[in-house]
Amino acid sequence: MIAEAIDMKNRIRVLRAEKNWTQAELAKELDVSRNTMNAIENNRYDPSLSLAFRIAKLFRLKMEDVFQDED
Amino acid sequence: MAKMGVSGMSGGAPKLGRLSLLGIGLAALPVYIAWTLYARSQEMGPDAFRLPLFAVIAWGVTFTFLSWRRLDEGGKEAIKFAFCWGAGPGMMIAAVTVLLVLYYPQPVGESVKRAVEGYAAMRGGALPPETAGFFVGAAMVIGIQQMLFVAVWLVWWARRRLGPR
Repeated sequence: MIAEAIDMKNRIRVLRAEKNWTQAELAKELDVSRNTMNAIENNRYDPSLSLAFRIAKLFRLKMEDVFQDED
Repeated sequence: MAKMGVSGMSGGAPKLGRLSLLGIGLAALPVYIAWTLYARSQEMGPDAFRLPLFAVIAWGVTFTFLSWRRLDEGGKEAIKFAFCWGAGPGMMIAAVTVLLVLYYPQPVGESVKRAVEGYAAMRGGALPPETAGFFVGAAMVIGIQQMLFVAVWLVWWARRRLGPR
């Protein structure tokens, strides 16, 4: 049984840089505020499952290629 | 950024959400003033006070509903957190504070009481001191509660703007 909370990290900042997108553009495309996008990028807010799937879909990647267990 | 093209994801909503939230505060005042002027011109008695209040409440509820629907998930999370840790405890702290101010250390309680009576007298006896006291007490509770709500809401966002964890 996994009882402890899992710390997630993500590669959004790197993926976004590869695409040459600004944070504001990415936030707009995902229909979230730039504050929320910034918090997610900095691993200070874990997005909902729905938003996580949308982010992965936007980069045309699998979820596990964007979000990973920090351990 | 049309090149990305994920269906059903159009931008702009969060900005509208913030504008709606702002609208609650800014728009409530003209609504209140307009209703008060209208009600007084009609010599509606106590309704001159009640109708504007109902109008402002209806306005606030409508805008709150619209704002909530337009907020993104980060914004909603911040508000839920602020309600739980700001508004909830804030109400209890405020209620105890008001009771202490009004009934315990008399120099403070007396000055508040005098201010309430002064306000009631200024309104030309339109409000009995008991009623004025009730509204002042309620306003103090709501005010303290709102201040704590905003403080916790700001802390939630500040913690998420500190950079990588």
